[in-house]
Amino acid sequence: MEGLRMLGEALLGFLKWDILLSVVWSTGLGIIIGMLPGLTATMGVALLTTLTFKMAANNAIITLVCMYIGAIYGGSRSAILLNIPGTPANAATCVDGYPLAKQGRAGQAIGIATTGSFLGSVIGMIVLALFTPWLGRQALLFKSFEMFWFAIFGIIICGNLTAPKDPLKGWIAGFIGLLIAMIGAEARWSYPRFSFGSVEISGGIELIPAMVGAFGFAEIIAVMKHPVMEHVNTKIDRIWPRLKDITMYWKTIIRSGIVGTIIGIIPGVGEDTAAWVSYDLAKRSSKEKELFGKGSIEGLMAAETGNNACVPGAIIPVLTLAVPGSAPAAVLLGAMLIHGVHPGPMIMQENPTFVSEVVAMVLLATIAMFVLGMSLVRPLVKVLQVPRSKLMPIVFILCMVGSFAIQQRFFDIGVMVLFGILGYAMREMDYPMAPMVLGIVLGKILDNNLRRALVISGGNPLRFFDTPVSIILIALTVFVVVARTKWFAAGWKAARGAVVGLFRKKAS
Amino acid sequence: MKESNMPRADFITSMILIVVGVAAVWNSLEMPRYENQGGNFLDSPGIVPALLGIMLVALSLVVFIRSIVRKGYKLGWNTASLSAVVKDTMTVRMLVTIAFGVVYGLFLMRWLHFIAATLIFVFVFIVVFEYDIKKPLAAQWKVPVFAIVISTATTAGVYLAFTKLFLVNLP
Repeated sequence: MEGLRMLGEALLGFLKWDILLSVVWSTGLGIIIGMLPGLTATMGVALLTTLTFKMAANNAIITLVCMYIGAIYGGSRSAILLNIPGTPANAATCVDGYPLAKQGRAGQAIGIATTGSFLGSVIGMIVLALFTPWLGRQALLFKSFEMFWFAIFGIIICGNLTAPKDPLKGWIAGFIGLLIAMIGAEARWSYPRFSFGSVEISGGIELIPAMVGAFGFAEIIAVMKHPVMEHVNTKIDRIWPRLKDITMYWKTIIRSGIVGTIIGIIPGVGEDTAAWVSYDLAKRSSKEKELFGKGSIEGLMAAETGNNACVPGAIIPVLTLAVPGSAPAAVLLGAMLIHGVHPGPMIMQENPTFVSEVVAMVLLATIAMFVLGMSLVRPLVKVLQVPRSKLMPIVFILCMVGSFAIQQRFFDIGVMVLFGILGYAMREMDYPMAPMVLGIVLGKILDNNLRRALVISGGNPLRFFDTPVSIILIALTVFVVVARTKWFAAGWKAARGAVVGLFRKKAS
Repeated sequence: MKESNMPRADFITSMILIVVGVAAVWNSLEMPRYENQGGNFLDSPGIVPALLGIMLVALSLVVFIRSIVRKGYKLGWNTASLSAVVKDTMTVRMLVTIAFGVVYGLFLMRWLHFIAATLIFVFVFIVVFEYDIKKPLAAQWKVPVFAIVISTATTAGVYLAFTKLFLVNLP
């Protein structure tokens, strides 16, 4: 009841004209940014962070949450109409969304995607409201040893899930990010690590310019590399979904919502993984498997429910552990810190109303996303027809200005350009960006906690293994690493075969 | 990148990463330990970067060995193959985009006012990517005209939005 009261108060606090206007324009802008291939949710949130620098903290954060939710949903438009995901989170949407558009059912696909996104966001929001206070209390058990192991586990699992074909490259990307975080003055002695005498480098690498470069400039290079863009010619038919389409797949909706939220909670693993896992699970348990890949309403619903449920899920570890659940959540974390909000294990003690306020923000953003998504279908189709050669220089200017605006340093523009080139090169070599970004965020946490833990333990390595939380995190990390090896897969298959065989014998 | 080229790419990138990792460890070992100021060696600035550098070297070594097993050391570089890569349209577009970003971000923004730098950048970017050298200039008069309109509108819009609305100083 106390939680509901706080949520009610938070909602009432946001029912002001200036905040509601911010909700509408930032969600609308998020939908446009999400639907334009080459502009990602991370880039949108990062650029908007710099624009909202002078706003009051709550107004700024609600704007960013709206941009985040709008962008993740917005990518479904280009996925359905162009077969090009607007953001990586919408790649799974292409599989069934585009075939539906080719069948002349683009409007229906957009309606399903919008409804799925809305329901996914609502499910995620409910988990955010119920689970965050509990996780916040558990996070107080995390001391230096546990936080060190949590940082390592985050890098390993993020690398594993974002580079399924080659997790080794995901782990390398994570350790590169951790090393990048070491650049600059360290906390204990203020020694400027890896600065090579430069005053600017000794200030460290700012997260926002690095992310704008890695997700912004790198995307611009990738988009401009390809000369041809497919034009949209499809007619938009009925948009509002039939109630039957939603009630028939209620199990898929709930499963995708919960799976998406849980994946959001895992550090660094983002909406694209949530969408694919939700899609895959829906296909495995569907009675209409043959429709998947050919215009399955259930498949489209699963993908969009999963990816939008991931958004509130990714915010949960931001609030409770100051660890981002996804790349846009990493930028959101940076924005909270800029605006004087300190998420982390102490949030339930120092600022318990902030959690309710974030739940209210997600609720308002979700409603705005649904209303705008359903009402602006035909006008937004025109946006997709803007030529890339005219759009990308504008985007680059925003990347440049956004990087400069935080600390008014030309150095940050250089960081943005460098990370753009580095990010593009990493993409070409199949090194995922998400673990690198997570590494940059977790680097300081790992550094401070490892050094503190080493001093407390006096160099005794056994102290790293003597709490239940540490042992659980170590076991999970080892499991994630070992599970990708061939001998584990063979052993697992043999064990599963033996168990199934045993049950069959008992049944007969 | 094509799957068939990945072992060669891994061969080169893993070597670069090994060098970066070794350099990180080397630099970390040279960092002060502050033991004469009451500091603990385990708390010294270089300990965590050194450990991270070692992990990076170890993981990159695995990729390096794997690339050798997959015959990635056979780079197959010759004049013809390198010429084909450089002349490929997508490679040219990629390099031109990077060049635009570097010139605008690192040089024009430092030498010129934001308005002048941005006008030039947007105009030249649109013209370079939309102008078709195979078609006559007269048939493409719309390209520079639209480029001027868009660069002016963009520069004015961004300048006014950031300086007047969001109160951000621009260079």
